[in-house]
Amino acid sequence: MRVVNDTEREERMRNLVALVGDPVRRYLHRRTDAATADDVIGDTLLVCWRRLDEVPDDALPWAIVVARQCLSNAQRAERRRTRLIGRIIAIDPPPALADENPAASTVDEGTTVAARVTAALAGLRRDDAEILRLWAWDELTSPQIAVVLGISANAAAIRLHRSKARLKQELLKSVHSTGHITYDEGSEDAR
Amino acid sequence: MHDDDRALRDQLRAADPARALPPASPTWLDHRMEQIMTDQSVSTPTVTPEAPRRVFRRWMPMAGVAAGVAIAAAIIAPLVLGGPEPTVESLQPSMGGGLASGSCLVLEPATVAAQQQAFAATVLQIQGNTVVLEVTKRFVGEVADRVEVAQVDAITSDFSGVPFEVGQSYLVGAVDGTITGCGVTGADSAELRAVYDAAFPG
Repeated sequence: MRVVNDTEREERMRNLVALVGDPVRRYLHRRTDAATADDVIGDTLLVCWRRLDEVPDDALPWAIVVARQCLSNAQRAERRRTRLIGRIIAIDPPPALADENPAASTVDEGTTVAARVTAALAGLRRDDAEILRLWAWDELTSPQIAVVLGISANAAAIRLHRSKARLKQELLKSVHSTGHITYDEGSEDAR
Repeated sequence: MHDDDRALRDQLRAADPARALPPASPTWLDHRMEQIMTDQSVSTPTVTPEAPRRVFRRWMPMAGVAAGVAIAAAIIAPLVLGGPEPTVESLQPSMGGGLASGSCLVLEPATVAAQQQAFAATVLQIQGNTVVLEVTKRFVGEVADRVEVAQVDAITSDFSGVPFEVGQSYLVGAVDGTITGCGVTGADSAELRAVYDAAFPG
């Protein structure tokens, strides 16, 4: 019983990797260290291959959800390993815990704007910061963000709008003394 | 997109840790495809149904031994090594529904979807006033292996919170580290499970 030709399946996978491979690779590099990102993208693509028949037309948000779950598993396993090693060698646990806020440690400190935005992001709630990263860094639209977060498109648009407002407030706090930036309230939601 | 939004996005991009990451090399795709294709654990729909059955029959005795060893290791290893301890986080108990009247609105999937953390968990034990839940499923948010929360105070609560009982399973929603009451958190019933499934499809 041959459901689909091997070559055809490989071709579909090749097209999928060409489409989502680099965006997912960047998504992971933004949220963990390079070595873990490389490991996790391998896991992610393997899941994509195994679940190739479930991949929707808009594959990127679906692939990002897979990547996020693979990363979460890797980070959980890493935390367990770290605790176990700490017990066995009876020393203080090595500082290899997953970085909860990778932007804070990986951004080029030479850029003033980057440092200010990084600080402002760190001042936000985790969910607010993540939705802004998905929007600005991963370049997802509101409906795509909705898929990644498992919420309705409407809820995603509302959350994004509120998160932008909160980030603007944080940025205003940091530049209040220089007065360089002013924002209008009520900007549009994602494109 | 609004100019204001564009400016904000440009600022955010300046802080993108991956902005200096070079594009994947041309060989990257081939390398990844090669890795995937050489993965022997993948069973694609292209194989005939008879083939895996024959293979399974041949390897079944060894698989049985391997499974036995794995189960024994799972039991003995924690005893020898002490085992990796589960991660634990604390959540604050429900502070009530936030309504002056003390009543709650009908629970909608959107309300559950708005939770920062949502998970299914079973009460392992109640020590004094502290309830220890073992997380069995994560719907959204980072949730530790176990969650500790103070038992609902029947005297001071507004009755929208959940009194936890040992051995019972619950669906739990939380925002800003505080468990949400008003029906969002409750015993794992078919009705509440349906709302969670609707809130977190897939």
